[in-house]
Amino acid sequence: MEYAIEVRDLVKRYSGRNVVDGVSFSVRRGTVFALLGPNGAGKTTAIEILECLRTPTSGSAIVLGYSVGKSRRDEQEIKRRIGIMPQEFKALDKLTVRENMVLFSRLYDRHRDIDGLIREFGLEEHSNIRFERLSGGLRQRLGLALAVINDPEVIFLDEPTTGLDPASRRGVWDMIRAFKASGKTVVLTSHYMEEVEYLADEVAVMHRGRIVATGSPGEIAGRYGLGRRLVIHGCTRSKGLASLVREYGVVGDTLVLSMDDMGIGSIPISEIVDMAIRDGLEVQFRNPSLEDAFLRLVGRMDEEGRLINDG
Amino acid sequence: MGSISAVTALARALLLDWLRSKTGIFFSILFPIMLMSILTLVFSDGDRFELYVQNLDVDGNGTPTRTSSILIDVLEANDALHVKHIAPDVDVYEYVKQSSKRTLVIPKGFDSAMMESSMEARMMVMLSTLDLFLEQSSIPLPDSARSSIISGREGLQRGLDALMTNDGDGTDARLLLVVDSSRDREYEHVHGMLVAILARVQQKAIDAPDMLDMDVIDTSSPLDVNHAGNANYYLPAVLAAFIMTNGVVGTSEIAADFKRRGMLKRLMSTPLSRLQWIVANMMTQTILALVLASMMIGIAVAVFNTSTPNLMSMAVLAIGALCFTGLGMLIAGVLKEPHAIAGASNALVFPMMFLSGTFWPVESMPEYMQSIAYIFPLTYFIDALNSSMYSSSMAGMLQATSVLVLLTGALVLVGSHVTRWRQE
Repeated sequence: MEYAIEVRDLVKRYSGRNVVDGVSFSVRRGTVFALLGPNGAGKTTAIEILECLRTPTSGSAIVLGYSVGKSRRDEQEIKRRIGIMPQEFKALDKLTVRENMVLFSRLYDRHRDIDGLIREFGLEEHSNIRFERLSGGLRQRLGLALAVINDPEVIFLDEPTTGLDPASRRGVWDMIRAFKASGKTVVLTSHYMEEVEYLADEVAVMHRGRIVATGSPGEIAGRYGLGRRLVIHGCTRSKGLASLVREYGVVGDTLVLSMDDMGIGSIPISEIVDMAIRDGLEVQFRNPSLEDAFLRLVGRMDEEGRLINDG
Repeated sequence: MGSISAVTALARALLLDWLRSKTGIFFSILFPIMLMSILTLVFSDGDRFELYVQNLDVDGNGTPTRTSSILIDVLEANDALHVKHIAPDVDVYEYVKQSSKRTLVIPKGFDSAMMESSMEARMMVMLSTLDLFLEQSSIPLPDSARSSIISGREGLQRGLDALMTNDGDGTDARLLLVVDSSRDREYEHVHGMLVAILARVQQKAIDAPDMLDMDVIDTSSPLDVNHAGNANYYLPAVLAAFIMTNGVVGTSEIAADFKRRGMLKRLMSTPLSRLQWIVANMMTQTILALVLASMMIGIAVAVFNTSTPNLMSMAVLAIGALCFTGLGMLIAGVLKEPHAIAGASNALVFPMMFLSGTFWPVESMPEYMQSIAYIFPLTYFIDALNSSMYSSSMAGMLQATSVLVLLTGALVLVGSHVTRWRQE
């Protein structure tokens, strides 16, 4: 079986609105697949369908050869073979790290050795500390440990690094890479470009319930990233750039200009840069990147994954 | 095997999580113990009616007259009354108005009025007896004897007439019961009791023998009668009420909290089934119920001298706990929103608490309310506990327990089918 997950025309409808709107994608075994999109794009709903936590309105989802939403037996098989870490992972507050791990291990027919997991995830010093007293980074580490406690074939990680400091985020990335190295298939959702670029073999960009682009991060950047570009943030505040804004349009308040000809129409690049700097705007020169492609496909997001000036 | 392991692991985790919560322990164990103690102490005379007595019939030294003294003794000897005295100078009308304490006033001259009335009554009885004898006696009387009796009867009649002519201030010496019936809900009971007691005193005053009497057979065991106290009434009721509250509100709140914090979603993503989730919670609450019960019973036996319940009552407690936890899990399983779960469980608990004999016996409620009471499982639980703890009525206990067992089975069955085990 080449694919761990196969999704075809998946729809989830709430109150007459398609939160997941005809989504199709496949995830190869042993790869890291990322659903990238802003908040409300439908990422969590899509993976919760794959985790058998929601029933699809229509379409099909096959996980490890078993159908989602078809039979209880299939869903039990899926649940036995997957591991998950939900968004804002929580465990039993007053139980220690070890006690939480023992609890989750007993919910499966087979499970990994608890002491080995504690060592693997660097939780030795914290194994007797209650969950309520753990820092955000340690909580995520425990969440990841619980996600693999049943030695799953597919691991679903929903926004695994949201709210973490840079060091903790790096730590989580290393663990996800280790999952892949051990042959696991990882499906993650994220709104962090660098995270997806660093971790994912395959990306599906989601926006308003639909997949608007798929491919490797490099492929998406090359296809939608418009080559080398000049990026000017806050351009709507500049009178000098008004004609360019009118002509090329903006995403949010960011102007993205292709630099292939070393000029934009009749205006040399150096003049545009001078104007932007004079008006106190932030100017960047960029190679094709996933972020630029995302900007063009979806729009600009803030740190929390909220779309800015989303029409 | 895996199923049992998952259930016991989850039950153990829930128990540990709960035991480490200080507020949980306070409200689930210490609070009921405090409440039972308070109820027992505050209502230590709960099955007796208070009656305030103001005795104005005293001599110059303040010593009560003989008859008023006898009346007070009879009132005090009555098990259903708790007699308290108020001073002669207290304004009874104002006192009752302010405090709603029903008060019996023994007026000045009560003793002499009573003596006169007693004499009148005796003479009336004698006249009536003579008339009956003269009219209906089957014994043949010589004429001389008959004339003597008639002559004696006429003398007696004249004496009675003279006595009644002199009886001018009798009304002033009547007993007076001052009540505020708008606020005194026990007024009718007390009034009925006083009428019966006064009839008895009156009968004694004319030395009339008892012609009608009634024996009482108490069906409780001798052990129970010896030790029966106020805590005997409150212990099963408070135990049942708190096991019900912990079961319905406590369990549904735990489930709602799991839902609110995303823990339930995490559990739903594992192979754990909803039946296992329900059973694990029921196990946890049942263990807690037995711990709570043991502590309350221990305190009740040690401090309030209640009789020690038997093992059967612990089984009844466990069945009750399973039943109410099942109800709590059903509410939590069916309702989507956590705040709706809290609202629904509270809305169910309060009517049950007040209509099922927790604070007063179901038998004391109006008949139609009694029918309503037997809709609620708490009534059966209290009945079963009362029967198992303090009565030898095995049939009553089995009947009430059977209802609980059947209901528990139904709740688990329905719960395992309707509990939401996925997101919308």
